[in-house]
Order: sequence, then C-alpha cells, then structure tokens
Amino acid sequence: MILNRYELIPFLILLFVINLFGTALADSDDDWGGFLPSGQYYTILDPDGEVLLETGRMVYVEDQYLDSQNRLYEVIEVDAEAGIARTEFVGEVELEVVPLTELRKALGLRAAKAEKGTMAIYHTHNAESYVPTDGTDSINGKGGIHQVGKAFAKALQERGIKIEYSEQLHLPHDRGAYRRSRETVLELLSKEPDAIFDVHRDAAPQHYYAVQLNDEWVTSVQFVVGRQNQNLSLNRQYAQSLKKISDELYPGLIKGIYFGRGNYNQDLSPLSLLLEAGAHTNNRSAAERGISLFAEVVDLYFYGPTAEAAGSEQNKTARRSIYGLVAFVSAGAVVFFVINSGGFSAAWKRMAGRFGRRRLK
Amino acid sequence: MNQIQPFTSVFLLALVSILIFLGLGQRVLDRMRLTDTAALLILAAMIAGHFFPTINLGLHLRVNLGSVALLGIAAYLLLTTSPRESASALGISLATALLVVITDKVLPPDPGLLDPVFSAGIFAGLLAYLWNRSRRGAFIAGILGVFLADLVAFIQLLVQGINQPIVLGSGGMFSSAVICPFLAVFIAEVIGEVREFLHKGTLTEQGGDDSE
Repeated sequence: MILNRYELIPFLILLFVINLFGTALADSDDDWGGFLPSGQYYTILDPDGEVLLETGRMVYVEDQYLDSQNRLYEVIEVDAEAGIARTEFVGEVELEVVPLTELRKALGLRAAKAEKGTMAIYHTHNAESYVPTDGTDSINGKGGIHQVGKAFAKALQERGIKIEYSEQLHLPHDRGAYRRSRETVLELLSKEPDAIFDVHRDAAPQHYYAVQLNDEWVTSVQFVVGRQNQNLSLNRQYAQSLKKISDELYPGLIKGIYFGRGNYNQDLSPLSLLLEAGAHTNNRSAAERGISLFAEVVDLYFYGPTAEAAGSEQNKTARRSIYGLVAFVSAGAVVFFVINSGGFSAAWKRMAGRFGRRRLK
Repeated sequence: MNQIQPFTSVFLLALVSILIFLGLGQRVLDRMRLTDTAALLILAAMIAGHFFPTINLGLHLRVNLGSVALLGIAAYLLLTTSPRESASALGISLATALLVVITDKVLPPDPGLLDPVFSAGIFAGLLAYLWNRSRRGAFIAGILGVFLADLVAFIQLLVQGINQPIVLGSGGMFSSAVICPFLAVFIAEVIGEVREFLHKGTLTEQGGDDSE
C-alpha cells in the first residue's frame, strides 16, 4: 500500500505515538508494570545538584515539586537511563489556608455542614506493601497498604468522622488499575463524601520518608496532584491548605506535594488527593502512625476552626478555575461549530459568509 | 456594581459544558448515519446508565447495568450496518483492546504518558481512521476496547487464582467506557478534517460505507 502525502499525516501521528511508547518502554526497566526495581529510584536534583526528592514514580519534564520548606521546583530535564531529573527553582510559596467554605463555594457546592461528614478512602494499587513488615514490596491481593488505609480510617473514625472505606481490588497491578478504580471512585462519590483519598506508598530509600515526631519514628506523607486535571487550581489550593495546617501542627509530617503528569482520577473531584504513606522500605507500623497523625490535620481542616478567608488569593483561585472552564467551553463550542458545519472549510465559509453579509450592509 | 458570584458562573459554565458535550455527542452519533431519535435514545441510555446498579454475574465477574446499555448500543451499531463494516469494527475493537492491554502492562503503573482512562479512545480513533476511516468503527471500538481489556484482566486474575470481582466497563457518565467512544470518533474526525483541510476539499471517497 502506497500512502499519498495526505494519508501520511495520520500515519505520522501513529508513528509519533509509537515513538512515545518507545521512549516510555526505554524508561521502564520493570517487567509487567511494577514500580522501578528495588534499589532504583528517580533522583530529582535541585539547581545546585542537591538531592531534592527520591521516588519510584516516573518523572516527566514540567512536573513540579513543592518541598517540605515550601520551595517550588519544576523539572526541566529527565535522564531516564541514569534515573536523574534536574529542576529549576520556581520560587518560595507562601502557603495559606483556603477555608473549606470558600473552596466549596468555588465548586458550586453548598457551604460546609456544621456536623462532621464522611470521608472516602480507597487504594488504586492494592498490592503495595512494606518490605520490613510484610516481607515483600508487593502482595498479589490486599497488600500492606490496606492496613495503612484501615489505620487512617480508624483514626478519622475516632474523631467522629464517618468513613466509606473501599477495599475493592483493582488488580492486576498495572496502569489499567486507574481505569478500574475509576468505577470505585464514582461509587464512593455517589455517597457524597466531603473528601476522597487514594492511599499509596512510594518506592524510595528508607531514610527519605522517615521522620521523628513526638519522640516516635513515623513515615511522612507526600501528596500527589495530577497536572492533567481541570480541577488543578482548586486541588492545589486544597493540598496546600492541608500542608499549611500540618506544618503548624506536625512540622515535617507532610514531605511535600508532587504535581505529576496524569489525572489520577482527580478530574472527578477537586477534593480528591493521592497520599504516599512512606515507602516500601519503611516499616508499615511507622506508616500507620504517620497517616494517623495526618487524620488530625484532615479533621482540623474540614471540621475544626479554619483560618480566616484568604480574600484576594481565594478570589484569584476561583477566577483561574473560571478562566479554565471558559477556555474549555470555548474550545467545545468551536469543535461543535466545525462538526456541525461539516468540516473546517465549510465552517470557514459559513463564518466568512456571515461577516461578508455584514460588510455588504 | 453587581459581581457575578463564582458559584453562579461556575455552575452556569458547567451547565453549558454539559450541554455542549451532549450536543457534540448527538452530532457524533448523527454523523454515523443514525436517526436523530436513535442518537438521542443512545444519549439518554448513557445518562440513565449513570444511575444503574452493578450486578454479580458469578465467578467474580460483575457488570454495571449501564454497561449492558453500552453493550446494547455497540450491538445495535454492529447490526445496523453492512457485514463488512461490522467485521472491520470488530477487528478494530480487538486491535484496540490489544493495544490497551499491552500499554497497561508495559508502561509504568502511574498515569502520565497516555492516560489509561482515555487510552482505548485514542487507539480506537487512530485505528479506525487508518483501517477504513469509519466513525462507527471508532465508536464501537471505543466501547468494546474497554470491555475487552477488562475481560483480559478478569481472565488473568482467574488464571492466577485471585478472587477479585472485576466490573466490566461501567455505565457512569464519566467512566472510561462512556468517554472513550466519543473520544475515538472525535480523534478520527479531527484527523479526517485536518487531512481534508490540507487536501483543500478534493478528497475522494474511500473505505467504509459511513466514511468521510
């Protein structure tokens, strides 16, 4: 079959997609979708070459990382073979607590209720486990991460919060798990929780997540926010609000916020957060203690005294979300117009005709 | 000065987005040589599917009743076209599922490159365009690609002896099985339009019976 030059375009698009896969395949040394092999992590360096973050998560250019000191970095180069990513410093971020009432208002929801509501918890990657306690980093079924999820649920329940905890499995442990867990998220959202948490563990060296709080070793928690998510602006504010409260209550408990490529099903709710509770090299009981402390932060943000409205900053956030929606709606309208007109040329003629008629008048 | 409250504007914009999505959906279905009534009925079934429960089929296989509506739509589209077009739509569906399964397994477990929620739609759109430029084929493959990939996961777990219920597809308005068919037609349509635009309208008819 010989393609003419017009038929080459879709063919080239296909080649481009295949090339993307090829790059990803080269990046992925693991077989059948596991994390990077034990002992291999992505090391993210700051502009001075100091280690900023070590993670089993795939790192992409334009990913951002807000570290424990609230310094924001953006990935500018990824050396997949060496497992090293370089960043540039974006700036210091002054965290503010955006009151829940304001966030809910920006979402078009009713103001928060006075009484304590429901929190939803689930695990997209059910197999994730902790080597020192579970004996392996992955259990084909309910891994150690389920115990961490239960500890989180118990800590929230002890504070009078109702829990919708789904232990639904989304195996096999591959990227299709996010497609399968979408059904779980939709099911949990139908129960109208105030927030929804997808609890994971990272793959990183032991020291990376270990932190001593209240004379006890616990693992810190890292938030992951998907960048390809129309709720990003509000989701960012939500994650930063939780970090701000946690920084005051338990400094060091929140390791940082990773803004990664993908949507992690966070497009379904802006009050959805992915939690990394320690790494596979940590003791599971330390992860359980760490996430139990985080339950206090959640309780305080959702049902405790919140900070005063952050005024202009909050309005800016709402405005940014609105601009995003306007762009989305406009793009949809253009596509609708083009399809409705029967193609680009017909749409163009229709537009030109309308303006032409106006000129004649 | 009266200011539009964020609540009102976000709500109105969300409403407009939904209307555009449904309008777009209706146009997509309309261009597959369906009558307006059939297109609107299919949209209504998809919306209704969002509220349907999930039932157990045994052997840990579960299906959302909304998914049954989706399968019904795929079957209807397959039966109301020529045998040749049906065969190619099934072929595209199998190829789509194969690519979804391969990328699920080979790419890293976290989304990023090629989001797993949308991958079936992207593959279905590209393959349908390359195969026979059939919108109907793209739409069917968008639905069946997700179902078949779920079925492969179910078989894998069965072989491994893992007792885990698998939900085939999903009838939720925002589920992969609903988004992907529309995404597939959209991709096939955009590629076709770009090609036609470059061709300056001198494109000749080729391929499937409901092609450009």
